Amino acid sequence: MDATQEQELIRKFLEGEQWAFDRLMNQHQKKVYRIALGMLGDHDEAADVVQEVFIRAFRSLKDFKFQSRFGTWLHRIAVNYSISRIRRRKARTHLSLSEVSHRLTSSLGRPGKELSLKDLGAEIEEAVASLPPKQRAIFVMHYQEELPHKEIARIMGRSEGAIKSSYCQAVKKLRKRLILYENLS
Amino acid sequence: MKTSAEKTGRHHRRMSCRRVRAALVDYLEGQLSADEQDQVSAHLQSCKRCAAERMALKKTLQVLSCRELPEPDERFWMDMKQRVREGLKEEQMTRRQPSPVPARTWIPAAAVAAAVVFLFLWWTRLPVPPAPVSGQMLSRLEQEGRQSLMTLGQDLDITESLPMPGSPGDSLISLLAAASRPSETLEQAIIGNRMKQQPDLWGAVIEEEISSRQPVDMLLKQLSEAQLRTLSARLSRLAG
Repeated sequence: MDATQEQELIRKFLEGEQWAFDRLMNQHQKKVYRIALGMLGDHDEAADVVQEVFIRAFRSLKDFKFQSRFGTWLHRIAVNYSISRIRRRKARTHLSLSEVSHRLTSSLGRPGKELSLKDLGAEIEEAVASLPPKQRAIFVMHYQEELPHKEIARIMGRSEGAIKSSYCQAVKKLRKRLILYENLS
Repeated sequence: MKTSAEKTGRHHRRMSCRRVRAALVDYLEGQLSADEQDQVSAHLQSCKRCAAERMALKKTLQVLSCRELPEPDERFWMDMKQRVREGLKEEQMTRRQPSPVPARTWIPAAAVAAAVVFLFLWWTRLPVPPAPVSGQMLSRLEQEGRQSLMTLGQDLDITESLPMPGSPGDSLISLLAAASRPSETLEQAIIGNRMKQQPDLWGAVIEEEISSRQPVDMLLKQLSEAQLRTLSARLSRLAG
């Protein structure tokens, strides 16, 4: 859908056309969900984010100035919302020392225990969750959603170079966490 | 087989290991220009350490491809549309309810809010030592500040930027309380309102909110007696 068609669709939505609401939702909801899920790693939380993002977007749509594409704007809201949740979650979660120690041990691999694909799934989740929120957003959008750096730069309000560099750092950090599994895949 | 650079007769300046490693992720994704891609390839053929680094990164990316994210079924998306519709309806219903602050108080209240911003800017830039605070004055200030912030929040439509329980004013207070730079958050809000640049306003506010540090109430408590008196007088004058 090009920018003109998108504007028309938004205009129809603002005129109260139900089909325009459906089309806007159909077009964007899955991507918003996947970004939120990739960042939060939890289906229920991702579903809440989708709901909140669309409610806030539709509510503010009358003020939308079309300075960016609707999708870019939605993704920005989704990323901000997810980052906000991650930070609040972090503030709520205080790991005890024993938990930290357990996590460290498991991430380093326990001697005598064979690594399995099942462990790998959990380890990937932990590794992604260990990234700082903005870096995590960049990683998810580029690696998982295959958004180009340029588009991510628009979403995050940063330069393309900064996004590239942050993505590389994310991959290197993940590599350190997942190094034991490299021969498993 | 000849590389594109060889075909065009260009000669490459040999890339350093550091530059090659910085470019490896882009190289693996095929994001480099043909010339850069060739330079990295040439380097990798002659440098075992960088070649090993490339292999390791490739494996990491392969490992990461094992991440499985569930795909909800069609029922979920149907329900989601319903949830959003209901959410929008609820909001409309809430908005139709009369505002706790009469519309005609908007202008003085906005002026009070501007003064609050001014003072925030002023005191967040000055190292103010903790000082004894008059309880009565503080409570009056908090009351007046809360009222003006509430009006400002309603006007700016940012009071529900975050899913916080309680009244719109409380939400804004909480939002500001969690902001690392409340003065700038408010300033942004005011500038955004004045310029009618609403769409991304709450995104900016959330950005501010997410790195929480010094609550507004704490800031108020850090004011000296003299500062409190000045602020109180200013607020009364503006509100009066």
